[in-house]
Amino acid sequence: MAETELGDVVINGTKFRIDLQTWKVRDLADFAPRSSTPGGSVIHSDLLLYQPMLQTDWRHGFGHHWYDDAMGYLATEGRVDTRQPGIAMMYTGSTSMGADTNLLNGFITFNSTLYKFGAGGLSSWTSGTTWANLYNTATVNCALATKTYLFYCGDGQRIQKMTTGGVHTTAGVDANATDYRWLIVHNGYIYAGKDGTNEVYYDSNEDLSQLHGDVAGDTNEILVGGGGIPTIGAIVYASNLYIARQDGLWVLGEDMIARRVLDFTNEINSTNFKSMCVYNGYMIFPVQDVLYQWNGARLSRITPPKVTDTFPYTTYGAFDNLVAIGDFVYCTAYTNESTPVHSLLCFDGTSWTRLADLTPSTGTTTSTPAMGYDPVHNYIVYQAVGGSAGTVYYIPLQARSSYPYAAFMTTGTHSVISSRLDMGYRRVVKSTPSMLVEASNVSSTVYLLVYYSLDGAAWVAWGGTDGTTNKISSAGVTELTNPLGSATVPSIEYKYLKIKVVFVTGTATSSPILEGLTVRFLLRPEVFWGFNFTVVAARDYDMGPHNDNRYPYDVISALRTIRDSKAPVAFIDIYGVSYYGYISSLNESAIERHEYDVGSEPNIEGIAQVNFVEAR
Amino acid sequence: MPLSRIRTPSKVYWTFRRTERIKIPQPVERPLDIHARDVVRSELLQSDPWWFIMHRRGPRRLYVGQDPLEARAVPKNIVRGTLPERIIYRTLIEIFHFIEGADFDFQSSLQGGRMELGGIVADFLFPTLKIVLQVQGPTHFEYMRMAKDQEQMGALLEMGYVTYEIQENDIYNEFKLEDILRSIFNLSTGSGNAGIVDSLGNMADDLYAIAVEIRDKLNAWDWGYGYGR
Repeated sequence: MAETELGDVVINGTKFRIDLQTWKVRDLADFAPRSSTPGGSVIHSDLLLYQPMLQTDWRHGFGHHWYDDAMGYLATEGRVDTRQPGIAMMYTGSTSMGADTNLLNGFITFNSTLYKFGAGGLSSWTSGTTWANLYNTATVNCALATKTYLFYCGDGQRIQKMTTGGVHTTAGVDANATDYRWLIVHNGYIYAGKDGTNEVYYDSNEDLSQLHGDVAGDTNEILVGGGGIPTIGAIVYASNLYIARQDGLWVLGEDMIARRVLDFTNEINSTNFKSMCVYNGYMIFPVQDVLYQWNGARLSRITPPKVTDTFPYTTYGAFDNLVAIGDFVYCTAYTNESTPVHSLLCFDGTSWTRLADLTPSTGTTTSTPAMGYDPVHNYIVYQAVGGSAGTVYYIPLQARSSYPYAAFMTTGTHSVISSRLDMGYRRVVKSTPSMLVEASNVSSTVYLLVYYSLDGAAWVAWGGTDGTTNKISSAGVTELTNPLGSATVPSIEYKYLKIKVVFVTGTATSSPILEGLTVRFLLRPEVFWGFNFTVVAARDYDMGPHNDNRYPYDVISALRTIRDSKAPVAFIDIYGVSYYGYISSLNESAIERHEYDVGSEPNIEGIAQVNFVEAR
Repeated sequence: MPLSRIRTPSKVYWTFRRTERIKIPQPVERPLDIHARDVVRSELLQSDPWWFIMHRRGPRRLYVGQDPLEARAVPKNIVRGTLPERIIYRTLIEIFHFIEGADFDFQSSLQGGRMELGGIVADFLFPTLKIVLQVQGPTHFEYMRMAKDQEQMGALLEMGYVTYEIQENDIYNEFKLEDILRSIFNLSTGSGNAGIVDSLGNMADDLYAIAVEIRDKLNAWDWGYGYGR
């Protein structure tokens, strides 16, 4: 209780007597302001007390830490495809094509047959059978298919060619036509980069019968830059042949002179230009752990964003095996974690989707050395190697569609995790009693599970009983209520919320479809108070046994000083509750002059209306 | 006496009709402009007392936060332009990875027209892609404006630019704008393909073969007056 011997309230240590009839207190914080949030359209409002915050599209991919994009989210787990407008669904599973621990350098198709090449040589694959080894003298560095021949280059070995009939013979002009790192067709020639050097040889003969392999035999060889840094690959882009080294990119002119167009000398690294592809008019390549797209004039970064929201942040790097297929670019990459996760990433020109984690049959993946596209079978083919285990897999693509092929995984965890939903106000507490989930193609065995995380805490099944209260097994809109599963507390309160939706299927040919998430919420700001009362400024005012002999001006003066205070002042209300705040308004009125009192100050009795605002 | 025909003097020649660029007239000022608000004597209106709550509308709740449309736009102090222009600007840069100055050149319609294009208003000009994005405002459907736009599109087409008009309301719809821009810039719209292996993949070849066959038959036809020879 306030010390009431000389007053009802205490402001900044000074006691004031007030007219109790005038005491008013009001909450100054709005009960539940309506916030504007991205994607929160009024047409989705249910016109009730709670506001809806919805997400109906996930095309802007992962890496959105906070909900700043109506089509973005934080991350996915397992195999989830969010590339299609208006839905999120599972992504196709991988099928083994057989074990192979020899690190591959790539895949190629020739004469309607898929081949793999690498440390194990050259092998062909026929659907329903195993790989057939065709050459194992040395590691095959590269291969090139034309209509007539499949050329392949063993490491340190003479270039070979294979006809459509499967006859293997040597190519090249002589015994020096050996050890090529890459081959490419451009402008009527086949160009071959000599392994470990900056020399490039070329030949216009269809069977490469005149391809040289040493400077002595061919004075027309092309030298790409200087400094003894070898070429690592080449690509045809916008009618020009570009040749890459770890320190930059060269363009080959009509005069057969290579000139540098991009210089990364100060960032020289073994990951530079490890892979290149052309997509939608751009050339895409990595330099260290940055992925660039280049239009021939300027570079812009398209590196995927981070995939976690807590330190240490998980990011992707070591981009490799870039392949443009249809509407998308696919690549492999792995995370910066102590045990890196190798993933299949997809870029659609705007954003990134993590389609799958690439794991071998046993153990964790330590390498994804090769990935390619098999147009014969319409497969993405890749090798995942973990320790002593290695396997070649394929992921089928759906014909005449960009949607994933219906061969989904019936095991594992596959989920999409929302951004942190702070509704635009991170420090304001929100309350959520329910959420709406729009789903289709769901049943008792093909369904969604919904989890939430409050302010970064662990995931909790919505409703408290995992697999029951958080299960979406009915198509259409399902309202999930009572998030805690409590008989007494109907809602959850948080500053930010994350929602995780897990996709579960017991049928490999069917995926649950997530079409929309709507979180209903109220912003519930902290309440702060405003006080309105009238202070009595009168001398010889009796308060029980006490007598206040302050002159009125002493009271007024104290209030004026407090009104001018720059720092908040302490305030004890009539019930003895303490606050800090400011006098926001002071209105004084004189009531009566006491002529008989001839003290040091005029004794003019008055009142002062005070508005005191709590500072929070 | 029969009237003699008045013939056109031989020194008078017909000329092609002179064409002029369409000029959009300025809006006509109203002779008397009274703002309705001015006639309301606001001092006579009583605001609700602090304790009053209109229950039919629920408790009074403030609207707080940034305008969702402004949240999608580049701030005015960075890029001068209308709201839809600034929304497209930000979308092009943040989502589609374009760079102003390198990939496209922006000039707001507020600034008149482009000197290098003869005064034509081309909001977003992609010189390499030869694309122009035009943001169409609410006056787009007025007759004169439509004619002017058509004229400008024709002029841009002569210069090799394809003009895409984007309606203001479509820009305000985040999802629709996404699909429109994806279509313009040849990105996935959910109706493409992830890999082509089927008979449809040969459709282009089939069409070409049919076209060649038609051409050969036309060439072989004896038209009698040398056509196709």
